Amino acid sequence: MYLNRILKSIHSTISLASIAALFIIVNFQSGSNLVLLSLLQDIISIALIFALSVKIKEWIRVNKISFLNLTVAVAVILGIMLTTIWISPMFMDELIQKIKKEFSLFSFASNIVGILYFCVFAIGAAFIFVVLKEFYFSKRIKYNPVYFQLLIIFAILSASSYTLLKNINDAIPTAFMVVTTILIIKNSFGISWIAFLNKKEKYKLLFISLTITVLASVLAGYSADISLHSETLITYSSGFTKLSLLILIYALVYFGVLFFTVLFHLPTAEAFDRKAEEVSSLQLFSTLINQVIDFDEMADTITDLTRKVSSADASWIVLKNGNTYETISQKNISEKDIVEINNYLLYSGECKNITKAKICFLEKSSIKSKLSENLYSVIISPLRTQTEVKGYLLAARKSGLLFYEDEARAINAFSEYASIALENSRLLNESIEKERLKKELDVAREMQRKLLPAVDPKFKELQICSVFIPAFEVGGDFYDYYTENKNEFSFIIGDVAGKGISAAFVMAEVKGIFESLSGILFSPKEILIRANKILSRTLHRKNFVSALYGKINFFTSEFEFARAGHCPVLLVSEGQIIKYQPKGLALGLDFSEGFADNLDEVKIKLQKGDTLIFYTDGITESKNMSNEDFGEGRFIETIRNNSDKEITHIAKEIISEISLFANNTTQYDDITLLILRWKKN
Amino acid sequence: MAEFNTTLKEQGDISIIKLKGYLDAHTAPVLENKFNELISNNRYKIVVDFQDLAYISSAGLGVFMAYIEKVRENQGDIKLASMSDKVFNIFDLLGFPLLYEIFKTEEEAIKKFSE
Repeated sequence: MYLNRILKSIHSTISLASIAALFIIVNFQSGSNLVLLSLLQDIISIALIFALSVKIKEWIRVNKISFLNLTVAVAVILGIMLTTIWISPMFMDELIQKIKKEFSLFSFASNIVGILYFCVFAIGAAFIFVVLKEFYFSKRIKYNPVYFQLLIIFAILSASSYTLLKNINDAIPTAFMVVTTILIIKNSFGISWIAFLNKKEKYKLLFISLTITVLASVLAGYSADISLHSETLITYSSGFTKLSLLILIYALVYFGVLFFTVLFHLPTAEAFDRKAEEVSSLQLFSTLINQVIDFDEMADTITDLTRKVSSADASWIVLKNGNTYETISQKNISEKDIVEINNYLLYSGECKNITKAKICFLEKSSIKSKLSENLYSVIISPLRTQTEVKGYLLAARKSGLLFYEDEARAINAFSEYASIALENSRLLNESIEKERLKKELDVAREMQRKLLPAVDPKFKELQICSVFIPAFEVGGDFYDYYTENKNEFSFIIGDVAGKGISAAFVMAEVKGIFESLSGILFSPKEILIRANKILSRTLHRKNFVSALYGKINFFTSEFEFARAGHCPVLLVSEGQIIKYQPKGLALGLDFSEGFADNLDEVKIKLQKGDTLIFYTDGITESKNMSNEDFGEGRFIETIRNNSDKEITHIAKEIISEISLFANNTTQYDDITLLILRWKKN
Repeated sequence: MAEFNTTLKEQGDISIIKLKGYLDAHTAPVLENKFNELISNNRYKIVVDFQDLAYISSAGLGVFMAYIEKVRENQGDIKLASMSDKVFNIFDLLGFPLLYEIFKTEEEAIKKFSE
């Protein structure tokens, strides 16, 4: 179980074990200068650095620390290291001498202070090493890990050779040092990650890298010189002293190079920022376009981004609405200025027929004095769909700075995206509207179907046959039978002006009115007059209703009817067709006394075999391919040719003639046909 | 879908709307807009020229009904002119000639206003 734990945190274990080992060695070494012991110390301290590196790397990865923050951390650590060196003489006086003395309480206490001091630098060196390694391996287009590995090998070689040969030969360790330094310089170039920082971050980095360079050079100086600092470290591991020096040199070179690289990047930082903003906002657009349903919301985003990317002071979007332009989104500009600029550019000016973004100058224009803000130049870009210009995206700048071509190009790209979004939202709304309409029509058709009589009544005196063919959009036709009064058959046939659900509602109202009136009043004219009066309370003028109310008395064989603007009655008697079109206004056209004054009632005495035909304009106005009407002529002709047949047969013939004539042309209006045949002598 | 459009001509205080194409439930809003425009400009003497109108449905007729009251309240009128027989029959069937003055030519309608 313990073994498991140790294995799990193997790097921590190695670190702690190394520190303990170094402590013990130094404690009992008592100033002896055995080379092998020094080498063992070096190996232990190198192991310590690597173990610490792994731990630090894990920590950085887990916490996802940004590069900029890592540089700050390096600066802080260097600062801590330097402070430690400065304050150490206060309590480390004579430390080395004490440690190197025979083992005693003093040497033991000094050793504890010494090992802590060593640990500070070991951790610091390991941290800087890890950060430099992270930087080396990041965002390089071409990198070769071999160079970094070589760097590590040579650094270790120069450290250990120094320990082994420090009293024999200086040349070999120096040669290794030189090679390592060359590798350090090579690895310090090709810094690409700073390109992705914004301007503010670049300034920050410039300051930090300068700080690090200065701190690292001071520290390197302390490490290279013979000082209390270097003496103390050498006591624990002379190789480590070399290694930490190399790491400091690496930091010095790397951040020195970084400083200059950033310095040279600064002038272009702003342009780079803008490009980066442009790219990311275009990306944002393409995702937005597919998500945003509401174009107004989208328009706000577009004006916002336009302003940012082109560093404009104001931006706005206008959409064409007939002959005028409507502002749908505006940022940082008053309505008055928009109107002035629109008037200048769109109604009269040179930007009337542009096809892509254009830069216009207001400086010398006539409207300059009318503007409340000092707007100097304007970019105007059309929002185009495939066929037409739907509106414009505009951006304006206040200062004397003019817009540049590349900004115009960016805004052009924006307006193209905006056009797509505009078109998308239009198409979406259209399909929603279509779906809504379809549902509405389903309801209206269902309503109409339920309002019409389910079956035709049967009498021995009278044959009844009805045909109803609804149009796709409910046309407003209706008919109904009233059979409550004995020895009598009454009916209504009508057509509500308009279509769809509104027509269906009127139909329902009218059906109710006639149903109750048919039980109270007896004369068709009276019924129609009363119906008109009742409708005056609710009916909108444009939803007038044409209707024909008829009544057949089984005793007297009399057919009585009045026509309120409805299609005429056709009577087929002994092969002759007679058309009855008495005076009468449609219901809802005139709510005054004029309605009654202009309504005539007709009474016809029926003979056996007489046929009465009632219909709606859906029949006579059925269209063919060339938009001609079926017309009254063809209708009467069809009736004449079939007048001696059964009424169901006549109806069938009429419908088949119409469909033959229409030949698959859409049926725009409802078709209603009602045929009665008198069977009594 | 059948086409419909209108052209507006002004002659003194009389506005002449010329209709062209097919006036039905779908195209009726075009004519409604025209009437709204005239009324909002306080132009109540209106002549509608049917010369080029190929077809009118009941919804098309409804447009005239929707505005007549308002127009007459303001001492104006909607006069109809130059209808083809077919279009006249539709008006006639519903009893419109009892409510509107219908003239053979546009000139006659204009002349009636000046009387």
